[in-house]
Amino acid sequence: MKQYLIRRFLQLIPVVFLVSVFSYFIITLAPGDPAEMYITDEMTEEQIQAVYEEMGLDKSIPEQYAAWLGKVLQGDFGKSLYTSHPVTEEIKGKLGNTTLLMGTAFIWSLLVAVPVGLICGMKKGSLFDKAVGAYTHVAVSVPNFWLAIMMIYLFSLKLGILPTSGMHSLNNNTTWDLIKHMIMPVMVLSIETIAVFIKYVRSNTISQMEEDYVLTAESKGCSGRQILFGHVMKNTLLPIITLCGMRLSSLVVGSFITESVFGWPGLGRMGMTAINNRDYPLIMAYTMLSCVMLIIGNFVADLLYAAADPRVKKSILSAVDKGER
Amino acid sequence: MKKTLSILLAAAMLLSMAACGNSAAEQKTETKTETPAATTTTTPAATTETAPASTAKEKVDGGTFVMPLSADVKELISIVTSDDNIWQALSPMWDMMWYETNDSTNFYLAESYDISDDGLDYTVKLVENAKWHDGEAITADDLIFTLDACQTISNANNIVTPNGNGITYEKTDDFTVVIHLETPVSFYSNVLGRLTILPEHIYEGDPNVVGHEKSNAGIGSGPYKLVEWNKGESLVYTRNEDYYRGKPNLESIIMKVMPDAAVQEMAMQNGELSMMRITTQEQLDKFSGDEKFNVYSFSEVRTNFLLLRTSDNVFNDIKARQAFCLALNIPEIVEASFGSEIFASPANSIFTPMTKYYNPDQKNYEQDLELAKQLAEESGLAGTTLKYGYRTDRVGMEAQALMVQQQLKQIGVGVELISGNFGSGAINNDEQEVKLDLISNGADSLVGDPGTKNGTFGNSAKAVRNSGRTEEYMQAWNDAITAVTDEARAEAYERVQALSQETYSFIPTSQPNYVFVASSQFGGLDTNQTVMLFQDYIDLYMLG
Repeated sequence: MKQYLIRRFLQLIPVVFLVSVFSYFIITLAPGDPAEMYITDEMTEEQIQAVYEEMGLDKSIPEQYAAWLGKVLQGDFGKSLYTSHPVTEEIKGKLGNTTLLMGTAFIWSLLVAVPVGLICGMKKGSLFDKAVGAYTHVAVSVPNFWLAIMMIYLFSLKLGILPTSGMHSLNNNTTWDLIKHMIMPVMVLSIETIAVFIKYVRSNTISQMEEDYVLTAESKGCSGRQILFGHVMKNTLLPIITLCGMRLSSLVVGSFITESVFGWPGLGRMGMTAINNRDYPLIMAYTMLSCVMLIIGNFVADLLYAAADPRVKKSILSAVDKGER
Repeated sequence: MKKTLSILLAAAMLLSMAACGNSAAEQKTETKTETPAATTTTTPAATTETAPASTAKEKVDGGTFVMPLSADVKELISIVTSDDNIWQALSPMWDMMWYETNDSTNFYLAESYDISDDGLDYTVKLVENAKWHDGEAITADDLIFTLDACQTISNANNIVTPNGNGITYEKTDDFTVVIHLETPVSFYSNVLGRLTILPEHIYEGDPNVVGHEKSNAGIGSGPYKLVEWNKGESLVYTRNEDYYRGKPNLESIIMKVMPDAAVQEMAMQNGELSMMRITTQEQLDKFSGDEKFNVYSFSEVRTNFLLLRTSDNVFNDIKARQAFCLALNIPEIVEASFGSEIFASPANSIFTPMTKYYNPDQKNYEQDLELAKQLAEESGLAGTTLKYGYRTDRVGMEAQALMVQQQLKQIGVGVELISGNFGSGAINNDEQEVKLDLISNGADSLVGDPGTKNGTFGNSAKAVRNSGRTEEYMQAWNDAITAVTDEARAEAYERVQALSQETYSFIPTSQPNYVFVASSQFGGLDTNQTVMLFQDYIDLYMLG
C-alpha cells in the first residue's frame, strides 16, 4: 500500500507540470499586451523598456516560462505586478476568507443534500421527491450571478434584512454580523451544489434499495429507518467521497462571480482582478493552487474511498501485487 | 408536464434577466424623455440638482458619508498614480499643494507659488500650520523628500523630468522650496500643485516609497485620518480635528469596495451608500425626481478619442485616414454610446471646455459619405477589414465600437472588434500578437494647462510613435509647452488644436460628464467640480 501511495504521489508531478505549461501559454496568448496596464503616457522609451524587462516580456514565451518555473521551484512565486507585493502574501491574506465562505457552503450543502437525497430515494415517486426533482432542475440551470442579484434585491433592498455585500459591517466584528453577511453568498454557492449532491444521493439510494441485503433486512423485520440508517446510508454515501474530493479545490480558490457580486474579499475576487490586470504571477499562482488542490482532493478521495470500502482496498492491493498500479 | 414547467421557468428567467439589464447601448432605443436640465460642457461645468428639495434642512455637524469603490487600493499612498479609483479612495487623507482649473487656483498645503519671469524657477511656499496625522509639522523637508521619491517612480516624469529635462531643487527655509527647470514648461505648475507630499520622517530617508512598508502607515495630511483599512472591504476615515483649514463637517467618510454596479445601485437605494456614479438613462430616470436623492453632473474633463495606426498599414496614406474620419457621424456615435446629453457631448477638440486654452470654435470632422467613399476607393481602404481594439472597462466604449463598425460599413470597410485593456501605446506595439489598426481611449485630467497630456497628444517619445503627427504639429506643441507668457501659450495651443485635425489620425469623439446620485441628506457636493471626488472634503456636510 505504501508503494501505491508513493507511486500515486509521484504521478501528480507530471500532471502539475503539464497544467502549468498549458496555463502559462494560454495566459500569454490572450490578446493584448500585458505591459500596457503598467505603462503611462509620460514614460520615456527607456522606462517603457524597463517595464518590459521587469515583467520578463522582453524574452520569448518559453524563456519566460522557464524563468518562472525556476523561481517557483525555489519557492518564489514572484511579486504581483499590480500591487508589487509577494504573491504568496496576497494569497495568504485572502485564503482564510475564501475557505470560510466555501467551507460553510460546502458543509451546508452536505447537511441539506444527504438527508433530502436519502428521503427522495426512499420515497421515490412521491410528491416530495417530485418537488425536489423540480428544484434540482432549476438549481443547476440558474446562473449564479443572476441568483446573487435577485437575492440582494429581495433580502437587502426589498426586505432590508441582510446587507448587500462585504464581509463585515463597519465597526461591527461580531459573529452574528459575519453570519448575516455570509447567508446570501453561502445560499448562492450551495444551491447548485445541493442539487448535484441530492441527485447523486437519491440515485445511489434507489440502487441500494434494490440490493439483496435490503430485502434480507426487510424480511428480518427491520424498520425503514433501521434499513436506511443502518445499512443503506453508508453504501449510498461512498460516491459522495469522490465528489467531496473534487470539490476540495473550490474551498481555496473560491468563486469568481459570487465573491465579486457580494464583494467578498476572497481568492475568487482576487483571481478576477488579477485577470483584468493581466497580473501574470498572480494568475499563475492562483491557477497552480487550484490545480494542486484538485489533484490532492482526488488523491485524498481515492484514499478515503479505499479506507471506507474494503472491496476497493482489496482491488487496489491486488493490482499493486500484480504490478498493475 | 416537466417540459412545460421547464419552459415556463426558462421564460421567467429570461424576463427577469431582461429587466435587470442595464447596458448603455440598450438605452439608445428608449424614448428620450425630457431630462432634467443637462449640464452644458461648453461653459464651465454647472452642477444639476434634479430632485426638488424637501422642507428646508440645515447644516448639522457630523454624519457618515459612504462611497463605493470598484476595487481595493494597493497601498495607502496616491503619489502620481493615474488610477482614478485609487485617487478617489485615498483623497480624504491626502492634500495637494494646490489645484488649478482653467480660471482659478485653489491652494491647500501651499499658500502660494511664484514663477520667475523666464519660467525656470518655481518658488513654493507651504503653509506653516499644517500637520501630519501623527502631529508632526509639514515642512519643506517633506516636499524635498517627495521630489526625491518621485525620482524612483517611473510615471512621475512630469514632475522630475518635465518635457524630458531634469530638475534641481533646494529648500530656502523651513517652508519654502525652489525648483529649477532647464527649460520653461507651461504645465509644470499644474502637475506640481497636484503632487501629494509624503511624510519624510516615517520613511527615514528611504525614497523608494512604492511597495515600502511605511507606505501603509496611513499618515496623511488631509481633512480625514484613516482609522481602518479592511483589506478588500473598506477604508474608514474619521475627521481630522486638527486639520489646518478647519474642522470638517462630516464625522466620517467610508470607502466601501463594491465591484458590481448592480449591487451598488441596490445599496444606494437601501441607504448603504451615500452616493454612486450613474451611467445610464434608466438610472437617471430612477433617481431623478425622488426626494431621497439628488443628481449631480459636471464635466469629467476627459476627451475620448479614436487613434489610428499609420506606420505600416493602409492608414499610412492620408487619404485612407481622411476617408475614415469623414465616414463617421460623431454626434450619432456619442448618442448611441451614452444615450443622453447629460452623460456626454460630442467633442469638437482634443481639449475640453475645462481645459485652459480650449478653442470653442474648433470644428471636429463632419460626416461626408460621398467623399469618404471616394477616398476609400482611391486609397485602397475600401474592401479591407480593420482591427479595432476597445476597452470594456470604460463607459460607452463598446457601444462606440459597434457604431464605428456600422458606419464604416457604409464605405465598404469592415471592422473586427477586439476587446481588451488597450492603452494608447497599443497602437504602435509591434510585439503584440494582433496588430491593431485603431483603438479607442481617453485622456482625462484635462483641466488647467493641457501640456500634462504631452504623452498622449503631444510630441513626447511615446506620442510621436502614434504617427500621423506632422512636424508643424509637434513644433506647435513644443512652442506651447515652452512658452513663457499666457498669450504665447494660447496662440500655440490654438495651433495645436487646429493642426491636430489635419493629422486625421486622432479623432476626438466625446466629452463625458461625471454624473452621480447622492442622498439628499448631504450637501456641499456641488462645490467641487473635479472628477477626483472630492477635491475638498471640507465642503461636504450633512443636512438635519
